[in-house]
Amino acid sequence: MEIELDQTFAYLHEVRREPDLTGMPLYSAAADGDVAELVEEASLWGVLAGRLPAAPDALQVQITPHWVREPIIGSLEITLAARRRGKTMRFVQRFPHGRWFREAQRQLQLLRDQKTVGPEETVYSMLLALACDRSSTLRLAPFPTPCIAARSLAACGVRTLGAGRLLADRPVLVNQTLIEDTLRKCCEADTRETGGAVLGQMIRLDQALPGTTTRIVTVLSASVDDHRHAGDTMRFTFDPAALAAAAQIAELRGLGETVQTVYHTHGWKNACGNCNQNPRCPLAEADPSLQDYQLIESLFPSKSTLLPIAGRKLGAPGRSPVLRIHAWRGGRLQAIPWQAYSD
Amino acid sequence: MVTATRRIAMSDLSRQKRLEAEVGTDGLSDRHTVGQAVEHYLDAMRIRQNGLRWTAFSRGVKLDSKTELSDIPEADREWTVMPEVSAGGR
Repeated sequence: MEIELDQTFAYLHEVRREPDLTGMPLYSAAADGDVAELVEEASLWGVLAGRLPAAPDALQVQITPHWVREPIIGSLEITLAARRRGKTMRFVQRFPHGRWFREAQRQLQLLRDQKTVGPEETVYSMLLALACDRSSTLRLAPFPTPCIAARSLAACGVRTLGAGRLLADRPVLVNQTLIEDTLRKCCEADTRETGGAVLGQMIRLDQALPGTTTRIVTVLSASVDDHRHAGDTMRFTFDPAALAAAAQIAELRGLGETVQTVYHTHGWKNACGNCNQNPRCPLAEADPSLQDYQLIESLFPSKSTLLPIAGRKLGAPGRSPVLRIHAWRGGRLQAIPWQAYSD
Repeated sequence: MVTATRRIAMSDLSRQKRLEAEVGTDGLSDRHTVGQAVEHYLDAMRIRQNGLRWTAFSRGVKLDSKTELSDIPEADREWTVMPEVSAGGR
């Protein structure tokens, strides 16, 4: 595939004491790689939304900064024009977030540990775009064709659809047994974390499901737990050999599944059970932590990856944990709606 | 002497990031090790190493990172590459 990149900026991420460019930055690093990741996210978003072809002949990439005030960026707009068999499809997304946001959190912790920054002091993270007349230094990752099989829901074992709703441009179906297993494991493990591999596949249906705009659906069909994974409070370590074994189980099932992702829990206090209502609950909510980002970006580097987390969510009804599924949206992992199914 | 084409396929667990390399022509030779081939994959796919220890598995079995590619049997040419890594609410 031929890729044409139209951008004339070099990107820099800085952490500063002031919300402008006065004084010296506390931290400064090149952020071209962070921006390149957004191009990949936009591309896969477009493909899964059915707005871009999966294997274009040529891809034109345009990156446009939207300023807070130049050179400070408020958001980046990425325009992709994919050409296939003489036809061009265009997809535009705006990204207010990116890896630099997470790096800023890490740097702030380091600066506080070093006592360079006080515990209550506010610092400002900013992405800068500096005009450059040299050719772009942005190294884009290869754009491999996503593994999406033309298959029916029935062939994936989907018999009836259950509770929940689908995101129009990223429909995700989750096996009811998987949901029950993860929530039960979360309760059984109490405040310790637990987790396992999640098998599934991305499929292309003949027709989009009602309420959706894409024929591509992600089906999460089963979880595979293994005693070699190890959890304690606020931490869960996946054993690579156990994940490799899960990949073999996926092959043996013969349904075209792979290990799509991993799930883990953020704990639940059975003795209290008030985790969803108590704003002072010390357990982390079922949102991705910085450690979770490192996990998912290392184990599953594709931006098509989903991240299921079970645990408490402040404001969620009831006295039991919830399962939240996160997808790459706008430069970060965001919880998306999904629908249960029975096999 | 005729040498058979030797192709190694490396991917992540979900098979979404996949690289096929021909040993001898795609920056890898028979003298390269499994560990070096894994680094080649990570670099080619722009996957950040994040200071983690990365491992290749074939047919569910971990490959020794010091093994040279010439010693990898034909049946072990489809690798899954992954790191040792933790998650958590921290």
